[in-house]
Amino acid sequence: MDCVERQDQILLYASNALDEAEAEELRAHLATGCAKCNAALREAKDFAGDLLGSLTPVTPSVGLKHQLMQSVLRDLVTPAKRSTDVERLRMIGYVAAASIGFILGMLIMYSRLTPSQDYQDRMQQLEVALADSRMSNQELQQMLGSSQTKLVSMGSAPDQPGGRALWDQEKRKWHQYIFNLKPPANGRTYELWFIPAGGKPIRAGIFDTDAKGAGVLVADLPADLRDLAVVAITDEPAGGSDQPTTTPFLVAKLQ
Amino acid sequence: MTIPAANDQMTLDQQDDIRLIQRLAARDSNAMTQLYDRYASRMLAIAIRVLNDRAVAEELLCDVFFEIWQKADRFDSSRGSVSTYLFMLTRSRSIDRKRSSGKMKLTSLEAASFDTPASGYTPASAVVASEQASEIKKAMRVLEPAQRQCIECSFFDGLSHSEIAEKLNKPLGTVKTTIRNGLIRLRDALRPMR
Repeated sequence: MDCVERQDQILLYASNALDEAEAEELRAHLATGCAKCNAALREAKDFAGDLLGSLTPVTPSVGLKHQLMQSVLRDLVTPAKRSTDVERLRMIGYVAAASIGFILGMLIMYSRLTPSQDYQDRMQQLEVALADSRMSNQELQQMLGSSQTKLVSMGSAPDQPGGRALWDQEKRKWHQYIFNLKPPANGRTYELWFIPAGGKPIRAGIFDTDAKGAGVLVADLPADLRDLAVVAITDEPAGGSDQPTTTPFLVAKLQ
Repeated sequence: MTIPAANDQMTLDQQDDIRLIQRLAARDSNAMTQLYDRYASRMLAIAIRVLNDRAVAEELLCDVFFEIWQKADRFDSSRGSVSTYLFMLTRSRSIDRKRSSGKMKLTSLEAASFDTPASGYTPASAVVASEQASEIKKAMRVLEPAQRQCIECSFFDGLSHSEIAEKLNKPLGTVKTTIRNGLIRLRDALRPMR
């Protein structure tokens, strides 16, 4: 088959409509660096792209961009090492295994050092820590190893919205995890509040939940915030509010 | 970084897209915001078309953008435009998600919508995109019904030839030939436009 005859084949290849045997043969030819066929492949891919791009656009939900940017910003803070997919999977496996081992070890130590801590709390700590897969191993170890890290629960009824948080008092960080909370309505978002004793609510951040009802928010406690008494979550207009406009539906009392 | 620089043979929009990807590779989060604003609505349309589930499609859209963020330094403009890369990646990941959930089924043909889109990131590019989509719509209507149906199943639903043959109760060889002829006809109809 010469390059002229391959043009139709290239079109089908770019559209994922070529049999694997023919595709393999074509890939072998393209790998030789044939300029004509590689140029044709680029054009064919752009053709396929144009077809896909011709569908009527659908505006994403309001909170989706915010959710994405939270992930991006979190990645900027604790960047993942760039590597091949195979290396990354292997690394994730090693880190996961090491993390699980370390966490279990720390929990066993906790059980000996803090005999008043019950099994349920320790399992919750494990669940919360493992849920935040974006936290680096080192960060996780430091937080769990600190006696100033507290576990905070919100809501307790099964299958009802609930939350758990890791309060890193040393670094003044609040790691909030939400479960069973359906995504906010269009034009709405969820907002977390820090409420000092006798004071007004302070904005901690906004977040959305995914289709599974899970949400994550990592917030810094303001430097001048003392005597944190209550943490609450409300339903607010998109972008959040300066003060709560609805009654909190999840509350944790810390004092 | 291996991203080739924008060149004069590209359109202005394509050059701008390349610069955005370069900024992403340099970990500029503002570039992600801009890329999202430009392409999220069209990428979501693709994901919904394949997955037929808006909630899952939005979840996937977030994952795709995050993947783009992490792999921006690997983009190779010699293989295709940024828009092609984004759309094809969205389609590919949507099909993967659909297969992993075991929900490979025909979506209604009514779900396919080739109406003139309005999005674009400059007024000029919006007009071009709108005209282009209108031409694609016309070309799709010129196809024989069987060709259009098979292409939609293959290209937009992500079904394999065997799955299409089973769903439409047609011989496998007929499905392959129908798709092949339909795509060639579509390409030839759209060639003068490109």
